[in-house]
Amino acid sequence: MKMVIAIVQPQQLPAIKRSLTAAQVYHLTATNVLGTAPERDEHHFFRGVDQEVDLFQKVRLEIAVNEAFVEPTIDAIIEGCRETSGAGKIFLTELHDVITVKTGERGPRAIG
Amino acid sequence: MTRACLALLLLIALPLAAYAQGEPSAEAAAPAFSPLNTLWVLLAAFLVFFMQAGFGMVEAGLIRAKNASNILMKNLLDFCFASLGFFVCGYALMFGNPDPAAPAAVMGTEGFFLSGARSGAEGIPLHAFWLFHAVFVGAAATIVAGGVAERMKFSAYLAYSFVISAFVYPIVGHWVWAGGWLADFKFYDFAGSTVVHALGGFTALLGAWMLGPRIGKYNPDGTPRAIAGHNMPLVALGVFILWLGWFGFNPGSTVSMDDPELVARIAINTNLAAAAAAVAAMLTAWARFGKPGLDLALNGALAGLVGITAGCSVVSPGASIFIGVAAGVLSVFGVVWLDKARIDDPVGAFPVHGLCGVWGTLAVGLFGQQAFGANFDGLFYGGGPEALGRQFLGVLACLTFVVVSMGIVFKAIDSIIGLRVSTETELRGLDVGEHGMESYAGFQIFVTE
Repeated sequence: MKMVIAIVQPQQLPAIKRSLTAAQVYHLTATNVLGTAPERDEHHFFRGVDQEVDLFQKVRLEIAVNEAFVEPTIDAIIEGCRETSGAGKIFLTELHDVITVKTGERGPRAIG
Repeated sequence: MTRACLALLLLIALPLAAYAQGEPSAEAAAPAFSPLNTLWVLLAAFLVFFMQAGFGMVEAGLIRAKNASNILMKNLLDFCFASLGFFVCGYALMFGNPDPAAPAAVMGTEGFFLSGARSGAEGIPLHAFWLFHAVFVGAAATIVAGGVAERMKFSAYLAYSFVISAFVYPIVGHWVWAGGWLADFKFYDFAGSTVVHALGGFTALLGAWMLGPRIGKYNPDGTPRAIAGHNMPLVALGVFILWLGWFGFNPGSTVSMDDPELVARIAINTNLAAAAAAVAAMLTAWARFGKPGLDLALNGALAGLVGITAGCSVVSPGASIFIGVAAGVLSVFGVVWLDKARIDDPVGAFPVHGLCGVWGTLAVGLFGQQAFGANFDGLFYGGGPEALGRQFLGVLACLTFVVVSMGIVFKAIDSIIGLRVSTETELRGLDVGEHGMESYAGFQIFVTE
Protein backbone atom coordinates (compact mmCIF):
# COMPACT_ATOMS: atom_id res chain seq x y z
CA MET A 1 0.00 0.00 0.00
CA LYS A 2 1.16 3.50 -0.80
CA MET A 3 0.12 7.00 0.16
CA VAL A 4 0.11 9.35 -2.81
CA ILE A 5 0.44 12.96 -1.75
CA ALA A 6 0.09 15.55 -4.47
CA ILE A 7 0.53 19.31 -4.17
CA VAL A 8 -1.29 20.94 -7.09
CA GLN A 9 -2.72 24.28 -8.19
CA PRO A 10 -6.28 24.99 -7.04
CA GLN A 11 -7.50 25.40 -10.61
CA GLN A 12 -6.25 21.90 -11.46
CA LEU A 13 -8.45 20.19 -8.87
CA PRO A 14 -11.63 19.76 -10.95
CA ALA A 15 -9.75 18.13 -13.85
CA ILE A 16 -7.80 15.89 -11.48
CA LYS A 17 -11.01 14.74 -9.82
CA ARG A 18 -12.38 13.85 -13.25
CA SER A 19 -9.30 11.91 -14.35
CA LEU A 20 -9.09 10.05 -11.00
CA THR A 21 -12.72 9.02 -11.31
CA ALA A 22 -12.01 7.79 -14.82
CA ALA A 23 -9.12 5.71 -13.39
CA GLN A 24 -11.53 4.27 -10.80
CA VAL A 25 -9.84 6.00 -7.88
CA TYR A 26 -12.77 7.24 -5.84
CA HIS A 27 -11.32 8.16 -2.45
CA LEU A 28 -9.31 11.26 -1.85
CA THR A 29 -8.83 13.98 0.72
CA ALA A 30 -8.16 17.55 -0.37
CA THR A 31 -6.93 20.38 1.83
CA ASN A 32 -6.09 23.99 1.18
CA VAL A 33 -2.43 24.66 1.80
CA LEU A 34 0.07 27.43 1.24
CA GLY A 35 3.43 26.74 -0.34
CA THR A 36 6.41 28.51 -1.79
CA ALA A 37 7.15 28.71 -5.49
CA PRO A 38 10.50 30.40 -5.98
CA GLU A 39 10.03 30.52 -9.74
CA ARG A 40 6.89 32.65 -9.44
CA ASP A 41 7.25 36.38 -9.07
CA GLU A 42 3.89 37.77 -8.07
CA HIS A 43 2.80 41.02 -6.53
CA HIS A 44 -0.53 42.12 -5.14
CA PHE A 45 -1.45 45.64 -4.23
CA PHE A 46 -3.40 46.73 -1.20
CA ARG A 47 -4.14 50.45 -0.92
CA GLY A 48 -1.33 51.15 -3.34
CA VAL A 49 1.24 49.27 -1.31
CA ASP A 50 3.11 46.48 -3.01
CA GLN A 51 2.69 43.10 -1.43
CA GLU A 52 5.11 40.44 -2.54
CA VAL A 53 3.42 37.06 -2.57
CA ASP A 54 5.78 34.39 -1.26
CA LEU A 55 3.27 31.75 -0.21
CA PHE A 56 0.82 30.60 -2.86
CA GLN A 57 -2.53 28.90 -2.46
CA LYS A 58 -2.31 25.24 -3.38
CA VAL A 59 -4.32 22.11 -2.85
CA ARG A 60 -2.89 19.03 -1.15
CA LEU A 61 -4.36 15.69 -2.18
CA GLU A 62 -3.93 12.55 -0.11
CA ILE A 63 -4.84 9.28 -1.76
CA ALA A 64 -4.24 5.88 -0.17
CA VAL A 65 -3.98 3.13 -2.81
CA ASN A 66 -3.15 -0.55 -3.24
CA GLU A 67 -0.09 -1.43 -5.31
CA ALA A 68 -2.08 -2.05 -8.51
CA PHE A 69 -3.46 1.49 -8.38
CA VAL A 70 -0.22 3.37 -7.73
CA GLU A 71 0.73 4.04 -11.34
CA PRO A 72 -2.83 4.69 -12.60
CA THR A 73 -3.28 7.23 -9.78
CA ILE A 74 -0.04 9.03 -10.61
CA ASP A 75 -0.91 9.04 -14.31
CA ALA A 76 -4.37 10.39 -13.61
CA ILE A 77 -3.02 13.24 -11.49
CA ILE A 78 -0.51 14.19 -14.20
CA GLU A 79 -3.18 14.00 -16.87
CA GLY A 80 -5.53 16.20 -14.84
CA CYS A 81 -2.80 18.77 -14.20
CA ARG A 82 -2.06 19.08 -17.92
CA GLU A 83 -5.49 20.60 -18.61
CA THR A 84 -4.39 23.90 -17.11
CA SER A 85 -1.05 25.56 -16.56
CA GLY A 86 0.84 25.47 -13.29
CA ALA A 87 3.43 23.27 -11.59
CA GLY A 88 2.81 20.50 -9.10
CA LYS A 89 4.54 17.74 -7.15
CA ILE A 90 3.63 14.17 -6.28
CA PHE A 91 5.13 12.40 -3.26
CA LEU A 92 4.93 8.66 -2.81
CA THR A 93 5.34 7.03 0.61
CA GLU A 94 4.86 3.58 2.08
CA LEU A 95 1.67 3.03 4.00
CA HIS A 96 1.94 0.70 7.01
CA ASP A 97 -1.69 0.00 7.60
CA VAL A 98 -5.23 1.22 6.93
CA ILE A 99 -8.12 0.78 9.34
CA THR A 100 -11.80 1.40 8.58
CA VAL A 101 -13.29 2.99 11.68
CA LYS A 102 -16.78 1.55 11.29
CA THR A 103 -15.84 -2.10 10.80
CA GLY A 104 -12.34 -2.35 12.19
CA GLU A 105 -11.24 -3.89 8.88
CA ARG A 106 -7.49 -3.57 8.23
CA GLY A 107 -5.05 -3.69 5.35
CA PRO A 108 -5.53 -3.49 1.58
CA ARG A 109 -9.23 -4.37 1.78
CA ALA A 110 -9.86 -1.38 4.03
CA ILE A 111 -8.61 1.08 1.41
CA GLY A 112 -12.00 0.98 -0.29
CA MET B 1 -2.14 50.92 -20.08
CA THR B 2 -0.88 53.97 -18.19
CA ARG B 3 -1.50 56.05 -21.30
CA ALA B 4 -5.02 54.67 -21.60
CA CYS B 5 -5.73 55.59 -17.99
CA LEU B 6 -4.47 59.14 -18.53
CA ALA B 7 -6.58 59.49 -21.65
CA LEU B 8 -9.59 58.40 -19.63
CA LEU B 9 -8.86 60.97 -16.95
CA LEU B 10 -8.61 63.64 -19.62
CA LEU B 11 -11.93 62.52 -21.05
CA ILE B 12 -13.53 63.09 -17.68
CA ALA B 13 -11.75 66.37 -16.98
CA LEU B 14 -12.46 68.06 -20.32
CA PRO B 15 -16.23 68.25 -19.98
CA LEU B 16 -15.76 69.69 -16.52
CA ALA B 17 -13.61 72.46 -17.93
CA ALA B 18 -16.21 73.10 -20.61
CA TYR B 19 -18.90 73.27 -17.96
CA ALA B 20 -16.87 75.69 -15.88
CA GLN B 21 -16.71 78.07 -18.83
CA GLY B 22 -20.33 77.59 -19.85
CA GLU B 23 -23.23 79.78 -18.95
CA PRO B 24 -24.81 79.08 -15.60
CA SER B 25 -28.01 77.18 -16.33
CA ALA B 26 -30.87 79.47 -17.22
CA GLU B 27 -32.54 78.96 -13.91
CA ALA B 28 -31.98 82.50 -12.70
CA ALA B 29 -35.58 83.57 -12.99
CA ALA B 30 -36.41 80.50 -10.97
CA PRO B 31 -40.00 79.33 -10.81
CA ALA B 32 -41.42 78.73 -7.37
CA PHE B 33 -40.07 75.46 -6.03
CA SER B 34 -42.04 73.18 -3.79
CA PRO B 35 -39.83 72.42 -0.79
CA LEU B 36 -41.90 69.36 0.14
CA ASN B 37 -41.81 67.86 -3.36
CA THR B 38 -38.13 68.63 -3.69
CA LEU B 39 -37.44 66.98 -0.37
CA TRP B 40 -39.36 63.92 -1.51
CA VAL B 41 -37.49 63.67 -4.81
CA LEU B 42 -34.12 64.05 -3.10
CA LEU B 43 -34.99 61.52 -0.42
CA ALA B 44 -36.14 59.07 -3.08
CA ALA B 45 -32.92 59.68 -5.04
CA PHE B 46 -30.87 58.90 -1.94
CA LEU B 47 -32.84 55.67 -1.41
CA VAL B 48 -32.39 54.61 -5.04
CA PHE B 49 -28.68 55.41 -4.78
CA PHE B 50 -28.45 52.94 -1.91
CA MET B 51 -29.81 50.25 -4.23
CA GLN B 52 -26.34 50.29 -5.77
CA ALA B 53 -25.12 48.77 -2.50
CA GLY B 54 -27.93 46.23 -2.69
CA PHE B 55 -26.96 45.18 -6.20
CA GLY B 56 -23.32 44.98 -5.13
CA MET B 57 -24.05 42.69 -2.19
CA VAL B 58 -26.45 40.46 -4.15
CA GLU B 59 -24.01 40.01 -7.01
CA ALA B 60 -20.92 39.55 -4.84
CA GLY B 61 -22.67 36.98 -2.65
CA LEU B 62 -24.02 34.94 -5.55
CA ILE B 63 -20.64 34.45 -7.21
CA ARG B 64 -17.43 32.80 -6.05
CA ALA B 65 -15.04 34.36 -3.56
CA LYS B 66 -12.29 34.65 -6.15
CA ASN B 67 -14.29 37.22 -8.16
CA ALA B 68 -15.93 39.28 -5.42
CA SER B 69 -13.63 42.31 -5.60
CA ASN B 70 -13.95 42.36 -9.38
CA ILE B 71 -17.73 42.57 -9.36
CA LEU B 72 -17.71 45.24 -6.67
CA MET B 73 -15.26 47.25 -8.78
CA LYS B 74 -17.70 46.96 -11.68
CA ASN B 75 -20.54 47.94 -9.36
CA LEU B 76 -18.68 51.02 -8.16
CA LEU B 77 -17.43 52.10 -11.55
CA ASP B 78 -20.67 51.64 -13.46
CA PHE B 79 -22.33 54.04 -11.05
CA CYS B 80 -19.50 56.51 -11.55
CA PHE B 81 -19.75 56.21 -15.32
CA ALA B 82 -23.52 56.46 -15.14
CA SER B 83 -23.18 59.71 -13.21
CA LEU B 84 -20.63 61.17 -15.60
CA GLY B 85 -22.26 59.88 -18.77
CA PHE B 86 -25.67 61.14 -17.70
CA PHE B 87 -24.11 64.51 -16.94
CA VAL B 88 -22.18 64.79 -20.20
CA CYS B 89 -24.92 63.84 -22.64
CA GLY B 90 -27.41 61.39 -21.09
CA TYR B 91 -29.64 64.04 -19.58
CA ALA B 92 -29.59 66.05 -22.81
CA LEU B 93 -30.63 63.06 -24.90
CA MET B 94 -33.32 62.10 -22.42
CA PHE B 95 -34.88 65.39 -21.30
CA GLY B 96 -33.36 68.01 -23.61
CA ASN B 97 -36.52 68.97 -25.48
CA PRO B 98 -35.93 72.36 -27.15
CA ASP B 99 -39.65 73.03 -26.94
CA PRO B 100 -41.11 71.44 -23.79
CA ALA B 101 -44.62 71.98 -25.16
CA ALA B 102 -43.88 69.79 -28.20
CA PRO B 103 -41.25 67.23 -27.17
CA ALA B 104 -39.05 65.53 -29.76
CA ALA B 105 -40.16 62.03 -30.77
CA VAL B 106 -36.82 60.22 -30.75
CA MET B 107 -34.40 62.06 -28.47
CA GLY B 108 -33.57 65.33 -26.82
CA THR B 109 -30.95 67.58 -28.34
CA GLU B 110 -29.95 70.26 -25.84
CA GLY B 111 -28.56 70.65 -22.36
CA PHE B 112 -25.26 68.83 -22.81
CA PHE B 113 -23.17 69.11 -19.62
CA LEU B 114 -26.45 70.39 -18.11
CA SER B 115 -25.69 73.71 -19.73
CA GLY B 116 -29.04 75.38 -20.33
CA ALA B 117 -30.88 72.24 -19.24
CA ARG B 118 -34.32 72.44 -17.70
CA SER B 119 -35.91 70.39 -14.96
CA GLY B 120 -38.40 67.83 -16.23
CA ALA B 121 -40.85 68.35 -13.38
CA GLU B 122 -42.64 71.46 -12.22
CA GLY B 123 -41.58 72.79 -8.86
CA ILE B 124 -38.49 70.58 -8.68
CA PRO B 125 -35.04 72.12 -9.20
CA LEU B 126 -33.08 70.78 -12.16
CA HIS B 127 -30.37 69.34 -9.97
CA ALA B 128 -32.78 67.35 -7.80
CA PHE B 129 -34.54 66.03 -10.90
CA TRP B 130 -31.20 65.18 -12.51
CA LEU B 131 -29.98 63.30 -9.44
CA PHE B 132 -33.19 61.28 -9.24
CA HIS B 133 -32.78 60.14 -12.84
CA ALA B 134 -29.01 59.65 -12.61
CA VAL B 135 -29.40 57.04 -9.86
CA PHE B 136 -31.90 55.20 -12.11
CA VAL B 137 -29.26 55.03 -14.84
CA GLY B 138 -26.86 53.51 -12.32
CA ALA B 139 -29.41 50.83 -11.45
CA ALA B 140 -29.96 49.91 -15.10
CA ALA B 141 -26.22 49.75 -15.78
CA THR B 142 -25.34 47.63 -12.76
CA ILE B 143 -27.97 44.95 -13.44
CA VAL B 144 -25.75 43.76 -16.28
CA ALA B 145 -22.72 43.16 -14.04
CA GLY B 146 -24.40 40.08 -12.57
CA GLY B 147 -25.21 38.48 -15.90
CA VAL B 148 -21.66 38.82 -17.22
CA ALA B 149 -20.04 38.09 -13.86
CA GLU B 150 -16.88 36.04 -13.34
CA ARG B 151 -15.63 36.30 -16.93
CA MET B 152 -16.09 39.77 -18.47
CA LYS B 153 -12.97 41.89 -18.74
CA PHE B 154 -12.95 44.90 -16.44
CA SER B 155 -11.87 47.37 -19.14
CA ALA B 156 -14.57 46.07 -21.50
CA TYR B 157 -17.12 46.55 -18.73
CA LEU B 158 -16.07 50.17 -18.23
CA ALA B 159 -16.57 50.89 -21.92
CA TYR B 160 -19.97 49.21 -21.88
CA SER B 161 -21.17 51.09 -18.80
CA PHE B 162 -20.33 54.50 -20.27
CA VAL B 163 -22.13 53.77 -23.54
CA ILE B 164 -25.30 52.41 -21.94
CA SER B 165 -25.64 55.34 -19.54
CA ALA B 166 -24.67 58.08 -21.94
CA PHE B 167 -26.64 56.92 -25.00
CA VAL B 168 -28.79 53.78 -24.87
CA TYR B 169 -30.67 54.28 -21.61
CA PRO B 170 -31.37 57.99 -22.20
CA ILE B 171 -32.88 57.34 -25.62
CA VAL B 172 -35.27 54.68 -24.32
CA GLY B 173 -35.98 56.93 -21.35
CA HIS B 174 -36.84 59.78 -23.70
CA TRP B 175 -39.29 57.65 -25.65
CA VAL B 176 -41.21 56.67 -22.53
CA TRP B 177 -40.69 59.40 -19.93
CA ALA B 178 -39.87 62.62 -21.69
CA GLY B 179 -42.65 62.98 -24.22
CA GLY B 180 -41.10 60.72 -26.89
CA TRP B 181 -43.06 58.67 -29.37
CA LEU B 182 -43.94 55.89 -26.92
CA ALA B 183 -45.38 58.44 -24.51
CA ASP B 184 -47.54 59.72 -27.40
CA PHE B 185 -48.47 56.12 -28.07
CA LYS B 186 -49.79 55.94 -24.47
CA PHE B 187 -47.31 53.23 -23.56
CA TYR B 188 -47.29 53.13 -19.76
CA ASP B 189 -44.24 52.30 -17.65
CA PHE B 190 -44.55 54.19 -14.39
CA ALA B 191 -41.16 53.63 -12.74
CA GLY B 192 -39.22 51.52 -15.19
CA SER B 193 -40.12 47.82 -15.53
CA THR B 194 -39.08 48.31 -19.15
CA VAL B 195 -36.94 51.44 -19.14
CA VAL B 196 -34.69 50.29 -16.29
CA HIS B 197 -35.17 46.58 -15.63
CA ALA B 198 -35.99 44.94 -18.95
CA LEU B 199 -33.31 47.15 -20.52
CA GLY B 200 -30.72 45.95 -18.00
CA GLY B 201 -32.01 42.37 -18.01
CA PHE B 202 -31.93 41.96 -21.78
CA THR B 203 -28.50 43.58 -22.02
CA ALA B 204 -27.34 41.08 -19.37
CA LEU B 205 -28.82 38.22 -21.40
CA LEU B 206 -27.11 39.45 -24.55
CA GLY B 207 -23.78 39.86 -22.73
CA ALA B 208 -24.03 36.44 -21.08
CA TRP B 209 -24.86 34.83 -24.42
CA MET B 210 -22.03 36.57 -26.28
CA LEU B 211 -19.48 35.77 -23.56
CA GLY B 212 -20.45 32.12 -23.33
CA PRO B 213 -20.74 30.15 -20.10
CA ARG B 214 -18.14 30.17 -17.34
CA ILE B 215 -15.58 27.37 -17.42
CA GLY B 216 -17.13 24.41 -15.62
CA LYS B 217 -20.75 25.57 -15.85
CA TYR B 218 -21.72 22.74 -18.19
CA ASN B 219 -20.82 19.06 -18.24
CA PRO B 220 -19.55 17.66 -21.53
CA ASP B 221 -23.04 16.25 -22.14
CA GLY B 222 -24.55 19.72 -21.83
CA THR B 223 -26.23 19.34 -18.45
CA PRO B 224 -25.76 22.37 -16.19
CA ARG B 225 -23.68 22.27 -13.03
CA ALA B 226 -24.30 24.31 -9.93
CA ILE B 227 -21.68 26.95 -9.19
CA ALA B 228 -22.71 27.97 -5.70
CA GLY B 229 -22.51 31.55 -4.49
CA HIS B 230 -19.97 32.10 -1.73
CA ASN B 231 -21.91 34.21 0.74
CA MET B 232 -25.67 33.90 1.13
CA PRO B 233 -25.97 36.28 4.11
CA LEU B 234 -24.50 38.97 1.85
CA VAL B 235 -27.15 38.17 -0.77
CA ALA B 236 -29.90 38.47 1.84
CA LEU B 237 -28.55 41.82 3.01
CA GLY B 238 -28.45 43.00 -0.60
CA VAL B 239 -32.06 42.01 -1.23
CA PHE B 240 -33.27 43.84 1.87
CA ILE B 241 -31.31 46.92 0.81
CA LEU B 242 -32.89 46.73 -2.65
CA TRP B 243 -36.35 46.27 -1.18
CA LEU B 244 -35.80 49.39 0.95
CA GLY B 245 -34.42 51.28 -2.03
CA TRP B 246 -37.49 50.37 -4.07
CA PHE B 247 -39.56 52.52 -1.70
CA GLY B 248 -37.69 55.37 -3.32
CA PHE B 249 -37.71 53.89 -6.80
CA ASN B 250 -41.49 53.45 -7.16
CA PRO B 251 -43.14 55.93 -4.77
CA GLY B 252 -40.45 58.50 -5.64
CA SER B 253 -41.36 58.30 -9.31
CA THR B 254 -44.40 60.45 -8.56
CA VAL B 255 -41.77 63.22 -8.34
CA SER B 256 -44.25 64.96 -6.08
CA MET B 257 -46.05 64.62 -2.75
CA ASP B 258 -49.11 66.47 -4.04
CA ASP B 259 -51.16 63.29 -3.96
CA PRO B 260 -50.18 61.53 -0.73
CA GLU B 261 -52.75 58.81 -1.30
CA LEU B 262 -51.10 57.87 -4.60
CA VAL B 263 -47.62 57.76 -3.06
CA ALA B 264 -48.88 55.60 -0.21
CA ARG B 265 -50.68 53.20 -2.55
CA ILE B 266 -47.55 52.82 -4.68
CA ALA B 267 -45.56 52.02 -1.53
CA ILE B 268 -47.99 49.33 -0.37
CA ASN B 269 -48.30 47.87 -3.88
CA THR B 270 -44.52 47.67 -4.08
CA ASN B 271 -44.34 45.90 -0.74
CA LEU B 272 -47.18 43.46 -1.43
CA ALA B 273 -45.82 42.44 -4.80
CA ALA B 274 -42.37 41.71 -3.34
CA ALA B 275 -43.82 39.71 -0.47
CA ALA B 276 -46.16 37.70 -2.70
CA ALA B 277 -43.39 37.03 -5.20
CA ALA B 278 -40.97 35.77 -2.54
CA VAL B 279 -43.63 33.39 -1.24
CA ALA B 280 -44.51 32.23 -4.76
CA ALA B 281 -40.87 31.71 -5.73
CA MET B 282 -40.21 29.81 -2.51
CA LEU B 283 -43.23 27.52 -3.06
CA THR B 284 -42.34 26.96 -6.72
CA ALA B 285 -38.78 26.00 -5.80
CA TRP B 286 -40.05 23.87 -2.93
CA ALA B 287 -42.39 21.94 -5.21
CA ARG B 288 -39.84 21.58 -7.98
CA PHE B 289 -36.59 20.96 -6.13
CA GLY B 290 -37.83 19.45 -2.87
CA LYS B 291 -36.58 22.13 -0.49
CA PRO B 292 -37.18 25.87 -0.11
CA GLY B 293 -33.83 27.47 -0.98
CA LEU B 294 -32.86 30.93 0.21
CA ASP B 295 -31.34 31.81 -3.17
CA LEU B 296 -34.50 31.50 -5.25
CA ALA B 297 -36.73 32.97 -2.54
CA LEU B 298 -34.56 36.10 -2.45
CA ASN B 299 -34.50 36.27 -6.23
CA GLY B 300 -38.29 35.97 -6.09
CA ALA B 301 -38.60 39.05 -3.90
CA LEU B 302 -36.61 41.04 -6.46
CA ALA B 303 -38.74 39.61 -9.27
CA GLY B 304 -41.87 40.90 -7.56
CA LEU B 305 -40.34 44.35 -7.11
CA VAL B 306 -39.39 44.47 -10.79
CA GLY B 307 -42.84 43.23 -11.81
CA ILE B 308 -44.78 45.87 -9.92
CA THR B 309 -42.56 48.74 -11.04
CA ALA B 310 -44.46 49.55 -14.24
CA GLY B 311 -47.97 49.40 -12.85
CA CYS B 312 -47.58 50.29 -9.17
CA SER B 313 -49.44 53.59 -9.67
CA VAL B 314 -52.47 52.27 -11.54
CA VAL B 315 -53.29 48.88 -10.01
CA SER B 316 -55.05 47.87 -6.81
CA PRO B 317 -53.18 46.28 -3.90
CA GLY B 318 -54.96 43.01 -4.69
CA ALA B 319 -53.77 43.10 -8.29
CA SER B 320 -50.24 43.82 -7.15
CA ILE B 321 -50.27 40.56 -5.17
CA PHE B 322 -51.26 38.73 -8.32
CA ILE B 323 -48.56 40.47 -10.35
CA GLY B 324 -46.06 39.51 -7.65
CA VAL B 325 -47.11 35.85 -7.58
CA ALA B 326 -46.72 35.53 -11.34
CA ALA B 327 -43.33 37.29 -11.21
CA GLY B 328 -42.10 34.96 -8.46
CA VAL B 329 -43.08 31.83 -10.39
CA LEU B 330 -41.63 33.27 -13.59
CA SER B 331 -38.29 34.02 -11.93
CA VAL B 332 -37.80 30.37 -10.91
CA PHE B 333 -38.73 28.96 -14.30
CA GLY B 334 -36.58 31.59 -15.96
CA VAL B 335 -33.52 30.29 -14.10
CA VAL B 336 -34.28 26.71 -15.15
CA TRP B 337 -34.92 27.74 -18.73
CA LEU B 338 -31.68 29.73 -18.99
CA ASP B 339 -29.68 26.77 -17.68
CA LYS B 340 -31.28 24.57 -20.33
CA ALA B 341 -30.61 27.14 -23.04
CA ARG B 342 -26.92 27.05 -22.06
CA ILE B 343 -26.81 30.73 -21.30
CA ASP B 344 -24.87 31.28 -18.10
CA ASP B 345 -26.34 34.10 -16.04
CA PRO B 346 -24.59 33.66 -12.66
CA VAL B 347 -26.97 35.78 -10.57
CA GLY B 348 -30.22 35.44 -12.54
CA ALA B 349 -30.21 39.00 -13.87
CA PHE B 350 -32.32 38.03 -16.87
CA PRO B 351 -35.05 36.01 -15.12
CA VAL B 352 -35.49 38.73 -12.50
CA HIS B 353 -35.04 41.95 -14.47
CA GLY B 354 -35.63 40.86 -18.04
CA LEU B 355 -38.52 38.42 -17.82
CA CYS B 356 -40.28 40.08 -14.91
CA GLY B 357 -39.66 43.53 -16.39
CA VAL B 358 -41.57 42.43 -19.49
CA TRP B 359 -44.25 40.78 -17.36
CA GLY B 360 -44.70 43.90 -15.25
CA THR B 361 -45.05 46.03 -18.36
CA LEU B 362 -47.67 43.72 -19.85
CA ALA B 363 -49.47 43.48 -16.50
CA VAL B 364 -50.29 47.18 -16.78
CA GLY B 365 -52.50 46.32 -19.75
CA LEU B 366 -54.23 43.61 -17.72
CA PHE B 367 -54.69 45.22 -14.32
CA GLY B 368 -54.56 48.99 -14.91
CA GLN B 369 -57.66 50.90 -13.80
CA GLN B 370 -59.03 54.34 -14.53
CA ALA B 371 -60.20 54.39 -10.94
CA PHE B 372 -56.52 54.60 -9.92
CA GLY B 373 -55.57 57.27 -12.41
CA ALA B 374 -54.77 55.34 -15.59
CA ASN B 375 -56.13 56.73 -18.84
CA PHE B 376 -57.40 53.27 -19.79
CA ASP B 377 -58.96 50.22 -18.20
CA GLY B 378 -57.00 46.99 -18.40
CA LEU B 379 -58.21 43.78 -19.97
CA PHE B 380 -59.40 42.38 -16.62
CA TYR B 381 -61.41 45.52 -15.90
CA GLY B 382 -63.46 45.61 -19.05
CA GLY B 383 -61.09 47.77 -21.08
CA GLY B 384 -60.50 45.37 -23.95
CA PRO B 385 -57.13 44.27 -25.28
CA GLU B 386 -55.97 47.64 -26.69
CA ALA B 387 -53.95 48.62 -23.62
CA LEU B 388 -52.31 45.19 -23.50
CA GLY B 389 -51.46 45.49 -27.20
CA ARG B 390 -49.91 48.92 -26.66
CA GLN B 391 -47.84 47.62 -23.76
CA PHE B 392 -46.68 44.70 -25.86
CA LEU B 393 -45.66 46.85 -28.83
CA GLY B 394 -43.98 49.37 -26.54
CA VAL B 395 -41.83 46.84 -24.73
CA LEU B 396 -41.05 45.14 -28.04
CA ALA B 397 -39.88 48.44 -29.56
CA CYS B 398 -37.70 49.31 -26.55
CA LEU B 399 -36.10 45.87 -26.37
CA THR B 400 -35.47 45.68 -30.09
CA PHE B 401 -33.60 48.97 -29.87
CA VAL B 402 -31.69 47.85 -26.77
CA VAL B 403 -30.68 44.46 -28.15
CA VAL B 404 -29.60 45.81 -31.54
CA SER B 405 -27.68 48.79 -30.17
CA MET B 406 -26.04 46.84 -27.33
CA GLY B 407 -25.25 44.01 -29.73
CA ILE B 408 -23.28 46.47 -31.85
CA VAL B 409 -21.63 47.94 -28.75
CA PHE B 410 -20.60 44.54 -27.37
CA LYS B 411 -19.29 43.47 -30.79
CA ALA B 412 -17.27 46.66 -31.09
CA ILE B 413 -15.84 46.26 -27.59
CA ASP B 414 -15.04 42.63 -28.34
CA SER B 415 -13.02 43.53 -31.42
CA ILE B 416 -11.22 46.48 -29.80
CA ILE B 417 -10.58 45.36 -26.20
CA GLY B 418 -11.94 41.82 -26.02
CA LEU B 419 -14.95 40.92 -23.88
CA ARG B 420 -13.63 37.94 -21.99
CA VAL B 421 -10.64 37.46 -19.70
CA SER B 422 -8.01 34.80 -20.41
CA THR B 423 -8.66 31.23 -19.30
CA GLU B 424 -5.87 31.52 -16.77
CA THR B 425 -7.37 34.66 -15.22
CA GLU B 426 -10.82 33.11 -15.16
CA LEU B 427 -9.57 30.01 -13.35
CA ARG B 428 -7.49 31.84 -10.77
CA GLY B 429 -10.15 34.48 -10.33
CA LEU B 430 -10.58 38.01 -11.64
CA ASP B 431 -9.63 39.50 -8.28
CA VAL B 432 -6.00 38.47 -8.63
CA GLY B 433 -5.94 38.41 -12.42
CA GLU B 434 -7.52 41.81 -13.07
CA HIS B 435 -6.90 43.75 -9.88
CA GLY B 436 -3.93 42.06 -8.22
CA MET B 437 -5.71 41.58 -4.92
CA GLU B 438 -7.80 39.10 -2.98
CA SER B 439 -11.24 39.71 -1.49
CA TYR B 440 -10.60 37.56 1.53
CA ALA B 441 -6.88 37.78 2.19
CA GLY B 442 -6.02 35.69 5.22
CA PHE B 443 -8.98 33.35 4.81
CA GLN B 444 -8.61 29.85 3.43
CA ILE B 445 -11.10 29.54 0.65
CA PHE B 446 -11.18 26.98 -2.12
CA VAL B 447 -10.48 28.50 -5.48
CA THR B 448 -11.85 26.01 -7.98
CA GLU B 449 -14.61 25.63 -10.51
